[in-house]
Amino acid sequence: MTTIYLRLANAPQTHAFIIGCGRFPSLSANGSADRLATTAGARAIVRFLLDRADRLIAPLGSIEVLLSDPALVAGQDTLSLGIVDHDPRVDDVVQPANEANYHTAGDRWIGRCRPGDHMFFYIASHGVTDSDTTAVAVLEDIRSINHRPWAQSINITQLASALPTLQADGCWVFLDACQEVIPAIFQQINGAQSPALITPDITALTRRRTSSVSLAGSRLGTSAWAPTDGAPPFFTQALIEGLSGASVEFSNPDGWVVTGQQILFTLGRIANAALNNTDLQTESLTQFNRDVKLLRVPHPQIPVVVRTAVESHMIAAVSVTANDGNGRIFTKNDAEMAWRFRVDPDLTRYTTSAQFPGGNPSYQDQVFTAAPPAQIVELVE
Amino acid sequence: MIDDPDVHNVRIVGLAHVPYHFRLIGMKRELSGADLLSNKDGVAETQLQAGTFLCYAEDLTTGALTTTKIDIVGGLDPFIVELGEKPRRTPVTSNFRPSRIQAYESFRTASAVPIDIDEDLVPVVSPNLAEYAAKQFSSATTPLTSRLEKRFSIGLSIDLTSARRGGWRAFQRVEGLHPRKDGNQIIIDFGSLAFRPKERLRLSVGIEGDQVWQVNVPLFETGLNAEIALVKSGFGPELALRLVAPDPSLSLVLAGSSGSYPGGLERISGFQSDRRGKLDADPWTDLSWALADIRAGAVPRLPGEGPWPWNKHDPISDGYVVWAWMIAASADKTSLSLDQRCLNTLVQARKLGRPYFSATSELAAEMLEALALSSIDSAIRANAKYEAAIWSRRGKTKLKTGPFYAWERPERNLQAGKLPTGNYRTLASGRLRSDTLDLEKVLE
Repeated sequence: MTTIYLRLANAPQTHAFIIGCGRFPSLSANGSADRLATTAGARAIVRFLLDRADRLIAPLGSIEVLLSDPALVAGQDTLSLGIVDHDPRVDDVVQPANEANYHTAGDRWIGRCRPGDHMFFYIASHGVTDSDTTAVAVLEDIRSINHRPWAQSINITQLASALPTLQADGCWVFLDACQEVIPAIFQQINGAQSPALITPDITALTRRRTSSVSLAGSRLGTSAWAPTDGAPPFFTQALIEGLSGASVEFSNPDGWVVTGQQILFTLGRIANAALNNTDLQTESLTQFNRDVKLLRVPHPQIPVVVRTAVESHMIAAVSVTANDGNGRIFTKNDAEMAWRFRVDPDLTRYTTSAQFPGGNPSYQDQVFTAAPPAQIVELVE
Repeated sequence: MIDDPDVHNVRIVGLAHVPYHFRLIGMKRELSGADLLSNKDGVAETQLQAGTFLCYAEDLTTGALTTTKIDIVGGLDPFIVELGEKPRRTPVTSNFRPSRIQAYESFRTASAVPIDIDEDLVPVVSPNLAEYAAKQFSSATTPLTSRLEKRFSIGLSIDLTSARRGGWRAFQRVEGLHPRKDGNQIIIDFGSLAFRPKERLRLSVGIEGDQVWQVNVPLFETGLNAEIALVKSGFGPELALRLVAPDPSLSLVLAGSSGSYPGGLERISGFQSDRRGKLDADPWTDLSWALADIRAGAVPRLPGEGPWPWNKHDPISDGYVVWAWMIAASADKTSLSLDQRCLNTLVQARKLGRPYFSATSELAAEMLEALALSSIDSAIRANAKYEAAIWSRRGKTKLKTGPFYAWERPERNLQAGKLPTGNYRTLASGRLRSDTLDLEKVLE
């Protein structure tokens, strides 16, 4: 089974398709191309959607999942998220992320889309740049067939551009993969030749009424990165932070909501503040829909990071505090060089100050406003 | 005069002297907000009840969004809200050069097809295009150097051959154009240009050790300013370019071409939609509207039939891309001849050189992608894929310049901070130091 959640209703719904591909038997025989983090990323996104099924602007209707987990035996990949409501499966097995399953599950996913629905797509895998510089994610059976070695793949840019022709209200496409330039693909006029799920003709393209929110966790020709400890890749971590409540705008009467514009432009800052990752590169794959909303966040928290201009000075500080002058004081009590905490997005002004033994070095106070998406404070001498 | 004592006149002042879109959202359900377009100096006036609002201010020239909480209280008329804090540092992230260098290098080495044809130099230097281009693109990488002082030069060129090779020459008839220095930036007001050519104009910003930043200059009837400002980066001082359409309504239309506004532009107070009725002012204004319409899912309107109804001006690629879209949108269903007409129009667009607007290249790429995947004719599919590759390789040397399409030129002979006088009329030149921009020569 590829459907792990099914709760169909007549009102607009969100239909998700989540792929984590970390096992590539034809890419390297010894498993050196395998990546644990990709399936961890996919599971984290599934968990996120399940936990917020009814906070989505269009409540969750279905989730399709494909996993190729290098830690599990091929064919016995499991979702491993415990008991899931509205799960139509008889056991925990999900199908591997190969080309055939992509098309079966993808057709099912697309078949559910009705006008007004939201379509949500996520994949973590290896990625390459196609001959026309579009972004391509590869599947488990990549290079398993000699005469079309790169066709077991998904052209994510094309998917993001074609998805709005289904007349959904919101289309969300996330790619956590590299956009590596491989001459074998790049120098072919026809490129990777990934078979597409939806191929609108040019007339159908002109009928679309919205654009996708589509974001890659790498830039053209560059790599995406992941930890090796089994945690999700860094872009996915930042994406979850953003979706959880940092990438929000206030709207009346919905309150705080995650919007496309915020997701597209704020993940770099969020990764910096929430994850101490100063190097996250993202790139939008299509033009965007300015304020399509994804979900409501009743109580968002804004990540804040405070650093000293000379990074190691932070450890020598006697005290580092953030004070709103109105009784709320945050105090650093760890030994990290970057002090991280979270505040309510009430736009309060906090004064950050660092004190050192004998007043040396002497850092100036800095003020930040508790506003989304994230606050990055650098103290200078 | 306001009758309701709880409603106050409010004036909102943006951070910079450019058009803004302000969204004011009441923090309580019963507070009604406002959706406003500022004047050309970033100032808007409205009436609000007393209470707390969140103000989202979108700088329409860059898309940068800032959030401010404001408390409206009585007793002042008007109640003035100045957004932002002073002094404010220019964020280095506004300059995208360093982060892209790795990508360029991958391209130059992996590229099978020459990226683009050098419109200035090719016929002068060598008739053997392919060889010359290959040599240029595969030659050594640009070393990343960190310099404390850099020479710079700003040049203006005119295309005398309607996008054929070798047509870009120095633009000489610069009467009325008086670049001025304001703090650490140079401002060029194209609205004051006395002679308005029918040919295309291109602005170039050259800095020592860096690739030249270029943009086509749309001569909007309502004017256009270029602001070239000193920014600090890890690679020493650099220049960042932004183009400002001083007409706020046009600025909003341009912002709408890269991402549509929910509910349409007409519901934003201060937006003058009657401009639309006045087609044929100039091709750039008409095409800005057309691109925003397409992005919003509406059918665009042009002042006449065919790809280029502006017969007083030389054709530009944006017009042909919009026309290809209109051909496809007006058909009931696709057909072989429709695909062929769209493809031919897009090929013509590409031959007219780089577009003026960023949205144009996105549209062209999307249409070519659709043709490459779904046309019933295999030759059309293959040709569309080839065309798509040219558009997107071009697009990947793009530099973020708001809604305008700007790019970098890889030629190493253009990296001295001086531009060749045959191809570029120097408007201003001087030196960048870590904290100052010093002008040595400026057009009088």
